[in-house]
Amino acid sequence: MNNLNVAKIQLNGDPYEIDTGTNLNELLNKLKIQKNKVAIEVNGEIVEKNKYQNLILNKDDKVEIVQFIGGG
Amino acid sequence: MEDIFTIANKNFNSRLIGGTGKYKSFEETANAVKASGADIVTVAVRRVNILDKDQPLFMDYFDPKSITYLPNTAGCFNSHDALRTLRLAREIGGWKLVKLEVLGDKITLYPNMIETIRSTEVLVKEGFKVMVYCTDDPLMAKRLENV
Repeated sequence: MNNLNVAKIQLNGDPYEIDTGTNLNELLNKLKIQKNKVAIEVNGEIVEKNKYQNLILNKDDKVEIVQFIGGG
Repeated sequence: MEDIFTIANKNFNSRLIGGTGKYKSFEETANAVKASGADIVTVAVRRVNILDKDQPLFMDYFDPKSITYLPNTAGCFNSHDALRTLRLAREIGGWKLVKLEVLGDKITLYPNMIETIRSTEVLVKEGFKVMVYCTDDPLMAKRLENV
Protein backbone atom coordinates (compact mmCIF):
# COMPACT_ATOMS: atom_id res chain seq x y z
CA MET A 1 0.00 0.00 0.00
CA ASN A 2 1.27 3.46 -0.84
CA ASN A 3 2.04 5.80 2.01
CA LEU A 4 0.23 9.02 1.19
CA ASN A 5 2.58 11.06 3.38
CA VAL A 6 5.61 10.05 1.35
CA ALA A 7 6.56 11.04 -2.19
CA LYS A 8 9.24 9.43 -4.28
CA ILE A 9 11.53 11.75 -6.24
CA GLN A 10 14.70 11.26 -8.27
CA LEU A 11 17.60 12.83 -6.39
CA ASN A 12 20.88 13.04 -8.29
CA GLY A 13 19.76 10.13 -10.41
CA ASP A 14 18.61 7.83 -7.59
CA PRO A 15 15.17 7.24 -6.09
CA TYR A 16 14.66 9.14 -2.84
CA GLU A 17 11.70 9.42 -0.49
CA ILE A 18 10.58 12.70 1.01
CA ASP A 19 7.64 13.71 3.16
CA THR A 20 4.79 15.13 1.11
CA GLY A 21 5.00 18.93 1.04
CA THR A 22 8.78 19.11 1.46
CA ASN A 23 10.33 22.28 0.07
CA LEU A 24 13.91 22.67 -1.13
CA ASN A 25 15.14 24.27 2.11
CA GLU A 26 13.74 21.33 4.06
CA LEU A 27 15.32 18.86 1.67
CA LEU A 28 18.73 20.50 2.13
CA ASN A 29 18.30 20.51 5.91
CA LYS A 30 17.44 16.84 5.85
CA LEU A 31 20.53 16.14 3.75
CA LYS A 32 22.65 18.40 6.00
CA ILE A 33 23.76 20.43 2.98
CA GLN A 34 24.45 24.17 3.24
CA LYS A 35 22.61 26.05 0.55
CA ASN A 36 25.41 28.55 -0.06
CA LYS A 37 27.60 25.70 -1.32
CA VAL A 38 25.27 24.17 -3.90
CA ALA A 39 23.00 24.87 -6.83
CA ILE A 40 19.79 22.97 -7.46
CA GLU A 41 17.92 22.03 -10.61
CA VAL A 42 14.37 20.73 -10.49
CA ASN A 43 13.19 19.04 -13.66
CA GLY A 44 16.01 20.65 -15.62
CA GLU A 45 15.39 24.21 -14.42
CA ILE A 46 17.83 25.98 -12.10
CA VAL A 47 16.08 27.22 -8.97
CA GLU A 48 17.27 30.50 -7.45
CA LYS A 49 18.15 30.24 -3.77
CA ASN A 50 15.48 32.73 -2.72
CA LYS A 51 12.85 30.40 -4.16
CA TYR A 52 13.84 27.27 -2.21
CA GLN A 53 11.34 27.94 0.56
CA ASN A 54 8.38 28.15 -1.78
CA LEU A 55 9.30 25.33 -4.11
CA ILE A 56 7.36 22.31 -2.88
CA LEU A 57 8.58 19.07 -4.37
CA ASN A 58 6.16 16.76 -6.12
CA LYS A 59 6.17 13.04 -6.80
CA ASP A 60 8.55 12.08 -9.64
CA ASP A 61 10.37 15.43 -9.61
CA LYS A 62 13.94 15.14 -10.83
CA VAL A 63 16.22 17.02 -8.45
CA GLU A 64 19.90 17.64 -9.10
CA ILE A 65 22.09 19.12 -6.38
CA VAL A 66 25.56 20.14 -7.52
CA GLN A 67 28.64 21.61 -5.88
CA PHE A 68 32.16 22.68 -6.80
CA ILE A 69 34.93 20.15 -7.00
CA GLY A 70 38.49 20.41 -8.23
CA GLY A 71 38.93 20.23 -11.98
CA GLY A 72 39.74 22.01 -15.19
CA MET B 1 57.98 46.25 -9.32
CA GLU B 2 54.22 46.09 -9.17
CA ASP B 3 52.80 43.74 -11.77
CA ILE B 4 49.04 43.69 -11.69
CA PHE B 5 47.11 41.24 -13.85
CA THR B 6 43.63 42.50 -14.72
CA ILE B 7 40.80 40.34 -15.98
CA ALA B 8 37.22 41.57 -16.24
CA ASN B 9 38.08 44.70 -14.23
CA LYS B 10 39.45 42.67 -11.35
CA ASN B 11 43.09 42.93 -10.32
CA PHE B 12 45.23 39.93 -9.46
CA ASN B 13 48.74 39.78 -8.05
CA SER B 14 49.62 36.59 -9.92
CA ARG B 15 49.23 35.63 -13.55
CA LEU B 16 49.05 32.00 -12.61
CA ILE B 17 45.70 30.24 -12.65
CA GLY B 18 45.81 27.14 -10.49
CA GLY B 19 44.36 23.96 -11.93
CA THR B 20 42.68 21.82 -9.28
CA GLY B 21 42.11 18.47 -10.99
CA LYS B 22 44.05 15.25 -10.47
CA TYR B 23 45.28 15.97 -6.95
CA LYS B 24 45.05 13.27 -4.28
CA SER B 25 43.08 15.41 -1.87
CA PHE B 26 41.72 18.91 -1.38
CA GLU B 27 44.36 19.43 1.27
CA GLU B 28 47.12 18.69 -1.23
CA THR B 29 45.42 20.95 -3.78
CA ALA B 30 45.14 23.78 -1.28
CA ASN B 31 48.80 23.44 -0.27
CA ALA B 32 49.93 23.46 -3.90
CA VAL B 33 47.83 26.51 -4.79
CA LYS B 34 49.05 28.36 -1.70
CA ALA B 35 52.67 27.59 -2.55
CA SER B 36 52.16 28.72 -6.16
CA GLY B 37 50.78 32.12 -5.18
CA ALA B 38 47.89 31.81 -7.64
CA ASP B 39 44.94 34.13 -7.00
CA ILE B 40 42.60 32.16 -9.24
CA VAL B 41 41.68 28.46 -9.16
CA THR B 42 39.71 26.49 -11.69
CA VAL B 43 36.65 24.66 -10.38
CA ALA B 44 34.30 22.10 -11.87
CA VAL B 45 30.64 21.46 -11.10
CA ARG B 46 29.50 17.99 -10.10
CA ARG B 47 26.68 16.22 -8.33
CA VAL B 48 26.78 16.20 -4.54
CA ASN B 49 27.33 12.70 -3.22
CA ILE B 50 24.14 12.24 -1.25
CA LEU B 51 25.16 8.90 0.23
CA ASP B 52 28.54 9.95 1.62
CA LYS B 53 27.98 13.12 3.61
CA ASP B 54 31.38 12.93 5.26
CA GLN B 55 33.17 13.66 2.01
CA PRO B 56 35.20 16.87 2.26
CA LEU B 57 33.98 19.90 0.32
CA PHE B 58 36.14 21.90 -2.05
CA MET B 59 34.69 25.12 -0.65
CA ASP B 60 35.95 24.25 2.83
CA TYR B 61 39.52 24.34 1.54
CA PHE B 62 39.37 27.45 -0.66
CA ASP B 63 37.82 30.56 0.83
CA PRO B 64 35.98 32.25 -2.04
CA LYS B 65 36.57 35.59 -0.32
CA SER B 66 40.33 35.28 -0.64
CA ILE B 67 40.71 33.35 -3.91
CA THR B 68 38.81 33.73 -7.15
CA TYR B 69 36.98 30.66 -8.39
CA LEU B 70 37.06 30.13 -12.14
CA PRO B 71 34.24 27.73 -13.00
CA ASN B 72 35.05 25.83 -16.18
CA THR B 73 33.42 23.44 -18.58
CA ALA B 74 36.23 20.94 -19.12
CA GLY B 75 34.74 17.77 -20.54
CA CYS B 76 31.74 19.44 -22.20
CA PHE B 77 31.28 18.55 -25.85
CA ASN B 78 28.32 20.77 -26.68
CA SER B 79 26.96 24.19 -25.97
CA HIS B 80 23.98 22.90 -23.97
CA ASP B 81 26.15 21.14 -21.39
CA ALA B 82 28.62 24.00 -21.17
CA LEU B 83 25.89 26.60 -20.63
CA ARG B 84 24.18 24.43 -18.02
CA THR B 85 27.44 23.96 -16.13
CA LEU B 86 28.24 27.66 -16.01
CA ARG B 87 24.71 28.70 -15.09
CA LEU B 88 24.80 26.22 -12.21
CA ALA B 89 28.19 27.57 -11.14
CA ARG B 90 26.79 31.09 -11.12
CA GLU B 91 23.87 29.94 -9.00
CA ILE B 92 26.16 28.36 -6.41
CA GLY B 93 27.75 31.66 -5.60
CA GLY B 94 27.40 34.35 -8.20
CA TRP B 95 30.54 33.68 -10.19
CA LYS B 96 30.48 35.39 -13.55
CA LEU B 97 34.12 35.06 -14.57
CA VAL B 98 34.23 31.66 -16.25
CA LYS B 99 36.39 29.51 -18.48
CA LEU B 100 34.52 28.13 -21.46
CA GLU B 101 35.68 24.93 -23.09
CA VAL B 102 33.54 23.17 -25.66
CA LEU B 103 35.52 20.22 -26.91
CA GLY B 104 35.29 18.82 -30.40
CA ASP B 105 37.53 15.80 -30.26
CA LYS B 106 38.08 13.30 -27.48
CA ILE B 107 41.65 12.46 -28.38
CA THR B 108 43.16 15.79 -29.35
CA LEU B 109 40.80 17.83 -27.11
CA TYR B 110 40.59 20.39 -29.88
CA PRO B 111 37.76 22.86 -29.30
CA ASN B 112 34.58 22.87 -31.34
CA MET B 113 34.79 26.51 -32.42
CA ILE B 114 31.25 26.73 -33.80
CA GLU B 115 29.75 25.62 -30.50
CA THR B 116 32.29 27.70 -28.60
CA ILE B 117 31.29 30.91 -30.41
CA ARG B 118 27.58 30.15 -29.98
CA SER B 119 28.09 29.51 -26.27
CA THR B 120 30.15 32.68 -25.85
CA GLU B 121 27.41 34.76 -27.47
CA VAL B 122 24.81 33.42 -25.05
CA LEU B 123 27.03 33.76 -22.00
CA VAL B 124 28.02 37.36 -22.78
CA LYS B 125 24.34 38.27 -23.20
CA GLU B 126 23.70 36.76 -19.76
CA GLY B 127 26.41 38.91 -18.20
CA PHE B 128 29.19 36.35 -17.91
CA LYS B 129 32.84 37.35 -18.35
CA VAL B 130 34.14 34.58 -20.55
CA MET B 131 37.69 33.27 -20.89
CA VAL B 132 37.60 31.07 -23.95
CA TYR B 133 39.52 27.93 -24.82
CA CYS B 134 39.96 28.32 -28.56
CA THR B 135 42.12 27.44 -31.53
CA ASP B 136 44.96 29.75 -32.55
CA ASP B 137 43.10 30.85 -35.68
CA PRO B 138 43.30 34.68 -35.59
CA LEU B 139 40.00 35.05 -37.46
CA MET B 140 38.21 32.95 -34.87
CA ALA B 141 39.91 34.90 -32.11
CA LYS B 142 38.73 38.16 -33.69
CA ARG B 143 35.21 36.78 -33.94
CA LEU B 144 35.30 35.88 -30.27
CA GLU B 145 36.65 39.29 -29.34
CA ASN B 146 33.75 40.91 -31.17
CA VAL B 147 31.09 38.93 -29.32
